[in-house]
This record gives sequence, structure tokens and C-alpha cells, in this order.
Amino acid sequence: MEVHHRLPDDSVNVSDTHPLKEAATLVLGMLVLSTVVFIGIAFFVELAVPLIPIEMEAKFFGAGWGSVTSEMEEEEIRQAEEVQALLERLAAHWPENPYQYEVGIIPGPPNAMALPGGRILVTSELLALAESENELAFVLGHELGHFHDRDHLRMLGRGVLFSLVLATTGLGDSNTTSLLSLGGTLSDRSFSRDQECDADRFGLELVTREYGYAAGSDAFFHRIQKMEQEGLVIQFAATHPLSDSRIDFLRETSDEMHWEWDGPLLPPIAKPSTPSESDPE
Amino acid sequence: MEDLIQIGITLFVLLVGYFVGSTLERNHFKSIRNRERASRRMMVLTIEDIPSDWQSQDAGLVTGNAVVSLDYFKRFLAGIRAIFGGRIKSYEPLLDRARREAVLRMKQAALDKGYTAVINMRMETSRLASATKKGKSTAGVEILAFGTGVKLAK
Amino acid sequence: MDISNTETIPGKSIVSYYGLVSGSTVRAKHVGRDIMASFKNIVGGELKGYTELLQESRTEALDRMIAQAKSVGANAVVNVRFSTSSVAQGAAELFAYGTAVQVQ
Ligand SMILES: [Zn+2]
Repeated sequence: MEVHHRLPDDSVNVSDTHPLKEAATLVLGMLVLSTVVFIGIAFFVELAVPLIPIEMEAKFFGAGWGSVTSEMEEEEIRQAEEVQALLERLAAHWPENPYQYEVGIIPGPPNAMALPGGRILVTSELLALAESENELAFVLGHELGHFHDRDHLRMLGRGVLFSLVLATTGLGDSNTTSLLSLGGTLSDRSFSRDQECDADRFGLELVTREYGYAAGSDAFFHRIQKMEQEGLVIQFAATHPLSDSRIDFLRETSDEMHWEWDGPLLPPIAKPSTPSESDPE
Repeated sequence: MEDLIQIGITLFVLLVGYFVGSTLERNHFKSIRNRERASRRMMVLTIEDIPSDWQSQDAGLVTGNAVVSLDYFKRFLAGIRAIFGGRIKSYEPLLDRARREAVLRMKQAALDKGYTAVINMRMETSRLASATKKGKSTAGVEILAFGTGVKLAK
Repeated sequence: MDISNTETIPGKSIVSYYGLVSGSTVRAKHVGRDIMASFKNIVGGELKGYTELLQESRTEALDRMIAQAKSVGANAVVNVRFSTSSVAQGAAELFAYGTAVQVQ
């Protein structure tokens, strides 16, 4: 009986793929997977959103609005009424408008938001800084554009469904969630860019119909861009991606549709009675 | 912005895990190979009895164990792999290291007791659940090697 | 290559011993299979997807063990044992080990 003291080949139990190569493949696969999942969800949301009745939307998402209106001071209530009057003039150019609008004023850096159920939030700084009615009108028109496409529901639907899918399939393991949501965020950004473009176009059309020209429509974007360069606001970019091309898009659309651009700017409305400190003038 | 910071931190931890983890792994494999070469005269067999033409003077139980855990980088890879399925390559070197280490420790234990071979060797693997995170993550994996050390008469 | 889980290969005699050889692989099932299995869990019965996966992985572990046996010049592995363990959430290790021998 013999005994051999040889060492077996010790490489057979370890795959020789380089870990970094493996990492690259897996991360890429993950981004592709999350993008595919996200696009699938977005597609589903596109189909489902038109089926949700307006009344249901208002009822379901009404919560929390009371806290906005109850915190508004007397002056803000006056401002809200003036803004609402302008909003309704604009909405009159959209014959199929199904919404009952309600405007709320909140403190904060220049911004406006469309909430489900026909609620629009405008920040007091936006009103304080606006130099013309036309400028404010375009911002409101843009928000009406979001209602026209029901973008708030789309965004909400995508966000909720995406998290739901991650949670139920177990894809959202703690190690991988950040990667998956990165893929989701990237896809979401491209969707919201399209939405913003459509809303801009819709707002421009309403403004042109109301005044007969679009002058001042780009004033708000110019102001925000200037403030961003000076480091005064950063929040706006997060919800409304801003770029030169977006500003150019307004003029291009106006030219393309043979709409008038130039015209006199009307004095601003809904101004605070005491000039705000952040007013540059 | 917060997303970016989050990703930055994760990336940093991943890189530290990768570099430290792979250096440790390389050194461990080197040490394992050296000790395996040094102890290769001690036979480890899974058969239940010594061959009939050998003679044993003494026998007794010997064990060796090792508990190992993955570095952050490899755990991250394993986490993604669990979605796509397939071979979890990042676990292979870890378990290979642990198993060979356990066998080496068992051999060392046998050597210390004066045995010259180990028969009826068995191995056992068990996952140690972490106390936190509801046992979802692992604190580590234990490999146990045990057998009967025998002293063969020449 | 003769493989057995007995002391010897029946009908042959062992002429020399080479010692321990082993093979292992760690596999994960993909999420799709997981979801299907969770449906199947409601009614019970065989989870075909998992059966195939584990069998395929075990074959690989065995193949790796055989590769080690060949590398030392053995022509049989006796007293082979299997061990399957869950080393992490959703990951199973299939491990096979035995004694490499030369038979005649
Ligand atoms: Zn917008």
C-alpha cells in the first residue's frame, strides 16, 4: 500500500474572474434592470392615469391642504385671490378644463407647484420678485400645463409603484437599493424633462391667447438662472431642471407657431404691501 | 445632492473593502499554501477505517474550525448576484480559504497530539446569523473539520 | 474516474492513497425563480426550478472535486460526502469531498 503526498490543484474551487470585472458587469446589469423596470412602470402609469376621475383625485389627495390655507396670513390671502383671478383668466383659454383651482401661498424661494386635485402652491418670494404680470402668468400657465397632462399623478404613480415593486420582489436589498434607485432617478429625470417641455409649451400657448403675445414668458427662467449663478437658490433646479435650451425652447416654439412674442409688459400683481428684503430693486 | 453624498460614501467603503479585503485574501492564500506544503506528510482521508495493512497505536478525535465573513465589496457583489442568479464568484475564495484553514487547524491539532494521519474526516458548514437585521445578514460562516487522528506504526 | 460513497470501489482494490480532495460552488437563484417559488409555496409540492438549480450546482461541485483528484493522479474517489449549506440570504454552497485513491 502506497501513500502519495501530493497537493491537489487548489485553483479549481475558485473562479478566476477578476472581482472588478464582475463588479462592472453586475452594476451595469443592475442599472439596465432598474431602467427597464422603471420604463415598464412609467408605461403602465401612462395608461392608468387617464382612467382616474378628477373627483377621485381631488378627494384622495386633498389631505394637508387645510394646513396650507390655515397658515396663510391676511395679506397672503389677498395675494392668493389675485393670483387665482389671473389663473382663472388663463384657464378660460383651455375649454376642456376639468379642474376647480385653488391657490395657496407658502414661504420659500421662488417656485410654484401643481398638487393633485387642482391645487397650486406659489411661494411668496416668487410674487415679491416678479416684475410683470406676464412673468407670473407664464409660471401659472406652466402649472396648468402639468394639470393638462396630469403630470403630478404620473410622477406620484411612478414613484409609488417603483418603491412598491422593489419592496415586493425583494429587489430592494439594503446593498442594492441605492443602485436601483439611481437607475430609477436617472430614468425619472428624462421623463420629467419631457413633462416640463410639454408644460412650458402649454403655458406659452395660454399666455399668448390671453395677451396676444408672449413677452415676459422667459423672465422667470432668466431670473432663476441668474440667482442660481449667484448661488442664491439651488432648490429650484431639483424640481424644475433649468437650462439655456429650455429658455430657447420658448422662443423657438413661439416662432414656429407664428405667435407674437413682443408686446408691452403689464405691471405686476399680487405684490406684498411691504417690499421684501430679497427684492433686488 | 444628498444622493451623491450617499453614493460617494458607499463607493468609498466599497473601495476600502476591496483593497483591504483582497490584500488580506492574497496573504491568507499564501500562508495556507505554505502550511499545506509543510504539513503534506499528514494524510487526511474520509475512509472510515485504516487500510488493513496499516497498524495504529493510538487514536482520538481532532477538530479544526474557522469563522469567516465577506468584505463589504464582495458582499455588495453577492447582493446583486442574488438578483440575477448564477455563480456567486465572490464567495468562492472565501469558503475555499475557510475550509482549507479549518483542515490545516485540524491537522495541527492532530500533530500536537502526536498523530500521523486523520481518518473518517467530515466537514460541516453553518451560517451564523447576525443578531441585528432579523438574521437577514450574516455575521459569518463557520467551517468545521473533524476526524479521528491515528498514530500509525511504521 | 470511479466515484463512490463506500470505503472502496466494489470489485476493485485500492493500491495507493492521495488524501483529501474537494469541490465546491456557491450559487444564487435569481429573483424570478424566487417569485415563482413563492407562488408554488402556497400549494406546496416540488419546486422544479430549485431542484434543477441545486442538482446542476452539485454536479459542478463534483466535477471540481474530480478535477482535484485528477491533478494528483488518482483514478477514483471513495467515501464521497456532500454538504449543502445556506451561506447567505439566497445563496447556497454545494460542497463535495472524498478521498482520492488509485484503484486496480
Ligand atoms: Zn414644472
